[in-house]
Amino acid sequence: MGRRRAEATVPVTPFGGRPLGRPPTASWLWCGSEVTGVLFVLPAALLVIGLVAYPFFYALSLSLTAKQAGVPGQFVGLRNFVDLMQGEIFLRTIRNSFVFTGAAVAVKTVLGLGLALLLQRARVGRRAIRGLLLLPWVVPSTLSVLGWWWMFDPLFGVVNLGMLKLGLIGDRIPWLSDPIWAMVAVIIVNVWRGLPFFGISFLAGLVSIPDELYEAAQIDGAGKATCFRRITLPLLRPILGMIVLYSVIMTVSDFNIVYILTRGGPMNSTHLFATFAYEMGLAAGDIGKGAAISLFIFPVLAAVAFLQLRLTRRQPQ
Amino acid sequence: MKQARVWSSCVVWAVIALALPLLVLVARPGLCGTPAEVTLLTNTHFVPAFETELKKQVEAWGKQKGVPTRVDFVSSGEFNAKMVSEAETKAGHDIVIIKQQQPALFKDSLVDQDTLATELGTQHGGWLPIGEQHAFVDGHWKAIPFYHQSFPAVYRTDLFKEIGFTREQVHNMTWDQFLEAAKKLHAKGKPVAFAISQTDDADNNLYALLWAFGGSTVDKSGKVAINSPQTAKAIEYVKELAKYMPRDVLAWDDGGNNRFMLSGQGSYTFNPPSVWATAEKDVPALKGLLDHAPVPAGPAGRFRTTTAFYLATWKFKASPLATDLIRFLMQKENYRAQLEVTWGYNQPLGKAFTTLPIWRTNIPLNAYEPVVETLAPMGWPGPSEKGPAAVKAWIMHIVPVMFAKAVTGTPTAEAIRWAEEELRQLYR
Repeated sequence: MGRRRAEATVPVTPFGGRPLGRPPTASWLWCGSEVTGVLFVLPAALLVIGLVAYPFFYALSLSLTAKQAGVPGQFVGLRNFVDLMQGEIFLRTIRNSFVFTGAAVAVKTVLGLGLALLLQRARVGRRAIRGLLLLPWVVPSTLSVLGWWWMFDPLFGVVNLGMLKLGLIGDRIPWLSDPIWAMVAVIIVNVWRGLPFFGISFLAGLVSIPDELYEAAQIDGAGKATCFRRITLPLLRPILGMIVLYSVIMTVSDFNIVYILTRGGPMNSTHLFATFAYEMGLAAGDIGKGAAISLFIFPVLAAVAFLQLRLTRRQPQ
Repeated sequence: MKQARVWSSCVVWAVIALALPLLVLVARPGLCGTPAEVTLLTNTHFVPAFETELKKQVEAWGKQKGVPTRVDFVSSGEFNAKMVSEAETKAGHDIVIIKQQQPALFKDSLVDQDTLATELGTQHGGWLPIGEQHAFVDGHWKAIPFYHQSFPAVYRTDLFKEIGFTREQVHNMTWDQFLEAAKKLHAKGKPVAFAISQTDDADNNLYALLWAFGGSTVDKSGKVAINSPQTAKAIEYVKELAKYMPRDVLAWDDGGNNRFMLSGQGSYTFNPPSVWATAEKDVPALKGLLDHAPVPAGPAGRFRTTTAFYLATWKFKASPLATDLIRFLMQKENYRAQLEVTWGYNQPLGKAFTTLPIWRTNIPLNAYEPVVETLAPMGWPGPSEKGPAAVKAWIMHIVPVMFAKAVTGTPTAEAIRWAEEELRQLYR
């Protein structure tokens, strides 16, 4: 009875808001913390709606039309998607995107880990080295890729000339004129550009692992390989997963490198979703198909984003 | 009290935020009695002097009319995307210089220019078929023919002389004779070459070759016609010729053939006069050694690909001032100055200007005008209403990729079948 009385007299105020059961008043409408919270979230929500949700749904609606530049599009259902799947260029684009992303992310992960381990051991000029390492990542990609384009030039490029002089190759490599070498070239440039980000991020993970763990393992007789396998890798896994997934998103939607180096050639062997969508939608004016191409990437990115979110939530555990 | 201050401050900021766009709108030229700016957009020119001349003429017109003017340039690579974005957003320039089959592509967004095109056509001695072909769409002039840039051959006179070819022989060469010359020049270490890659120059080279062998992407009705014995013959020819060209042609961009010739490595390619003009100005070793020639002839004739440019105005930007500026730019003395400043790079679309002395007094420019080949745009001989499909086939470089596939080992029939499938999707 006493407890019931107490419930009736003591107001329940979740999150410090208005007491339950009391009618809203005008002053609460303006000053209540719930509304203030909504107001604080509103700008971010509007940004997401305006810059993410609206373009996405607009692209979705465009992909279902035969929209050409400057004229209203006629609804065609899924015909754009069906047409694309029947075209060899698009099928090739899908294959290219997976090869490019898979290879580039794998190489960046392995080299990034190696780079981080080396940086962790560096004793002299550590800060300077870290600063220099970030250069490829911070230089505008348009400029740096143009530099690579000159270096891959078959006639005057420093890559072929250098390797010839060093005796590493007997004949010039057709960097940009052979489908396989062209793919290798765009992957090299992507790795060059993305590697510093991997290295520095992994380094941040490495320095957060307590030294005591390694000391204890060494006392127990663990070698370097065992320490790496049993301590470094498991403790680095959350950051490793985050960086790899983030890189998958950035790599699969890459545009600059391919557009400047090869424009999707030779023989469409380096076209990615972004470059093909640009060519079809913006250059050729077939906006409906361009939107459909760019939406094909959505399931991949959605799956990656889902994994990334799961990983982020698990991290504190 | 404090809360009230916070809210009043919020209200003030909200009013400012709402009022700012209105202030910007009101301050726009043309809304407060200030004359509106007249703007023109074109792609960057391979001869920078043309950009200077164009700006000078537009400014002169602006001074006459008391109107502020602006000329914007975008690189060739970004040009198509820029046009699409202007058409789609319904915001942009008063006058745009569009090219190829774009009058058909943007026909619903462009102002009909029937009266002006007829008036200027009379002044310019009548339009060449290439000028009319894609500017006249669905019974209306969607744009004013401005100029065209064609792709004749440019070659080293000294090297051809060494292998026993006179100027007359090079100018009257067939593709078979060209192959023989290519073999000899390859043996001398000075090969012939042209792009077989995903770049505009490759389309310009290979469409002309395809037509010369009797092949074409579509027939006159716009039906896909690439799968023919003539196309197969053209491919077999290029497969043979490619043995004597550097492999790099599979990766060339539009500057590839320029670098090839100006480095002194090449003996023959196809290009407007920028290679020759640069050599005359900046490469003493090649000065006086370059000449232009008509494209070699094949069993079906002699063809030269060209890119026509047009002056157009968007419906959402239509104004009498834009029409007046177009008329000014097309005035005889202005138009002549534009042609002359480009050293023949810009060729006229009006018949009266094809006989200008510039193409006769400069011996290496003789092959430009009068054109002895059949001039045709990519997508020929398809009808103008199939222009959007022709644009897509060009932008996706279907013809160069077909040749590149065959050259790199794909069976000829398979390469043609691939091109046929892709073209069918575009010309549906």
